[in-house]
Amino acid sequence: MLGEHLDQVAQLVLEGVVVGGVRRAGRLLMSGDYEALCTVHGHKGPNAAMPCLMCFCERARSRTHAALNGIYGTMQDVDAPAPAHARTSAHLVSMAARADVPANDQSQAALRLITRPPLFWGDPCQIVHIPLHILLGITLPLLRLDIELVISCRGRPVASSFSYELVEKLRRVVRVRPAPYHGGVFIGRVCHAIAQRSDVIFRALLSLVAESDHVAYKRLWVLWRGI
Amino acid sequence: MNRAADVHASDAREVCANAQLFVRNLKRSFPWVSIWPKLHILMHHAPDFLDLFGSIGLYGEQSIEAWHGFFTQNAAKYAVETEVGACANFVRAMAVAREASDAIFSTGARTPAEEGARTAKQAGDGRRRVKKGGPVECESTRE
Repeated sequence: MLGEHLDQVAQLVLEGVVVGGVRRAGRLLMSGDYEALCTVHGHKGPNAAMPCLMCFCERARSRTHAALNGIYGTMQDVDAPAPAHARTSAHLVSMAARADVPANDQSQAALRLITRPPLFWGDPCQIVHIPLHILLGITLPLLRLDIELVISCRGRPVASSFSYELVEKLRRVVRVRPAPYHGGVFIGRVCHAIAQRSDVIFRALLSLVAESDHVAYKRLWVLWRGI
Repeated sequence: MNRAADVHASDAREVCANAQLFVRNLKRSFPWVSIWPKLHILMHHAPDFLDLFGSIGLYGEQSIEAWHGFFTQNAAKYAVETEVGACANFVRAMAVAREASDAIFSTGARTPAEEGARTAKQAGDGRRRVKKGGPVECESTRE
């Protein structure tokens, strides 16, 4: 569907827009959900070994990718400084060129998870980081972490009843409910409300997990509220 | 981070520091948790974007969705042979008319009443019985 408009978008970026007799430059900032951005950039997908669209960072250490791990680092190295190997538009251009003249080198190191010809080859630093999806993508795993902590400390049966109790508290005390779309999860302002009233979650968790885990979990919510 | 406005440099630094601390604390406290791509973006790329463009919320998809809705309502006015051309016409018209602001999305908003307009000034203005001059007897129960 996007293919039909590619030339026009490219022309718009190249020539800009004339407003009141003055030509203004256009800048293309790519935004959308992860799947859509992967499609546009020809990336293999969010579950690939190099899931980031902005850098060549690998998901986790593995024996098969040991050499690439050494060069690009992994997402799990949180104490490492910012990734030094950012994706560039030059790499996307070279990947687009491969569609016309297939190269012999099909290795992971050469392709770096760009498996289809990209539709655009703008600078990857202009990809917008989908704030809405980041909000969902962090609030929900934090709630899941809560249940996982109870599973690790008290076992599955207790965690199961705790999860129902947590849902009930979110509904009655925080007064939030999941949206009927987006996969039936908490979205948008509801996530902000959960972060604001996260004390309800700590209190429910207090007697079920170790003190150190409780403090660490509470600290995470406080930091997340600040972001 | 989600605010659709330019973020002050000090606020941006605070957000970045909090993001790094959040991810590092998560990994140190719960080493079995795998860092997922959104956390990686939050920690490493969101601060860079904030430095480069001064805001993330301004360029997020939510404002584009709102613009899309507004464009759909007015698409017929700016129709040309291609849809991208119609979008360009629409943006041009908004820029020329100086209407490209958030104000266009608040359709039908009521202006607030003047200060003091709703306060009772006379004995019969209020709706409470005490303001209507004594008790009122119900007509239906009168025999």
